[in-house]
Amino acid sequence: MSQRTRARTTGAAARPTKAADRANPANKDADAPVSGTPPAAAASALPLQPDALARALRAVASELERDPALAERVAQAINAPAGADAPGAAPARAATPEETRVPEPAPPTVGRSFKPRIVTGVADSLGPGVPDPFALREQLGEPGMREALDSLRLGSLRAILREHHLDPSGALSKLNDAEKLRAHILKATRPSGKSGKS
Amino acid sequence: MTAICIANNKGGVGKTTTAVNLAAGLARLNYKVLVVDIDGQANATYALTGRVHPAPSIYDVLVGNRKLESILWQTNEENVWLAPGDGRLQNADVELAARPGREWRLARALSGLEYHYIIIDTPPSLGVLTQNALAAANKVVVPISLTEFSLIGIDKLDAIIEDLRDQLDLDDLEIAGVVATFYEDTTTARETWGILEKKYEERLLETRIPKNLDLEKAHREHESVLSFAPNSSSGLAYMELAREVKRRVPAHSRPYNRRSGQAY
Repeated sequence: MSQRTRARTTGAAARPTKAADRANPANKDADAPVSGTPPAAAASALPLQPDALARALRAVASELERDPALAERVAQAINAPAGADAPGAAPARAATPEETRVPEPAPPTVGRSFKPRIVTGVADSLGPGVPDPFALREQLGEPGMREALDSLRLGSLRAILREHHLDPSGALSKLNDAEKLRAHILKATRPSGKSGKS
Repeated sequence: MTAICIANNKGGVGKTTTAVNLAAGLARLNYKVLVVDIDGQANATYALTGRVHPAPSIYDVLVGNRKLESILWQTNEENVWLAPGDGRLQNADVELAARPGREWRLARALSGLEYHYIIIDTPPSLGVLTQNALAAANKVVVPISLTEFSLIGIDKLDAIIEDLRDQLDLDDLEIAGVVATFYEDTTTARETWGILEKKYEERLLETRIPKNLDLEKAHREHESVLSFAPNSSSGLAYMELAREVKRRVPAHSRPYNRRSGQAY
């Protein structure tokens, strides 16, 4: 086990860090009695009725509309990066385009790991048991059938091939490639003489 | 016909996974298998067909008066049929509580069916539904995950099997095997295995089902791990489990007739 790992698992994390000591002087001596009112309790002790809050916000809004310079300064403060209002920090300024640019999300990667998702299951409209691809084609046409097959997972696709004798050699059914199975079912159920392009 | 109840009052031990994959394994040994899903979560139904809470289901047979034959489906697995379950089963314990002969409703519904094996997946409780499954079964297979929690309350299942055997005159009802699931080669697993060996002796099945992502992936693809990843460690283990269960609980070709007191 590395030093870093050991530090994470031996209670070091439970001790206040030096940075935390600087941020909260009360942490300097963990055994010292805590005096004064905790900030959260102090905040909850302030009576702020909903109507009073609404009045205050209306007053702020009208002041911002009346004074564009104030509105500009408030906007700059809101857009300033986190920590800019810390004691000793530089006065607020508008964020540069570089600072406000949201990083592009990483391109999706194809992993082998299992990825949970919301499960909706096979549509009731496909009926009970193993769907009949010939009936699907007749009822839905090629585009509708393609859509229906897209909603089916490997197990159902393999079952269609098996139950409707669409893979006599059984070679295709051994593949874990749903796209190939769907394409084969579409092709095998197409009336002869049709190209399949709809 | 031989009916096997997959039971354990603890949840998350692999009951449904074992029911689905054991059924698929027995089907690969050329047996005709019916899976009966009486768990209100209906996960076996999903794993074998991709359907979520379909209706009509076994609920309509147990609580209503529908014929079992009218709800049976061919599943995605060859030679495996299904009596699907749905969410209404979660209330069935209460709805059946006051009915006379409530423990026998499943056994009566199965009467006359011709399969080699019936595999009954049960909810994680010892209520009326599980009692129905036990009353309908000849043998019980108990999946146990090799964790500390799995040993808590395991005696309750033994006690209820004994009670039912006495109350309902089910002479042959017994635990045919205890199968270790989600097996990982850890100290806890080895120690738990040792405890189970002492408790169940020869009833502890030799096959251990390893913890393996392919089991989850197979559920997601609506098929058994024997179809999805037959050569994976869990696929090979479930095939071996099917052979072991077949040796311990042989199939019979006679139609199901439990109510008369026959063994099959």
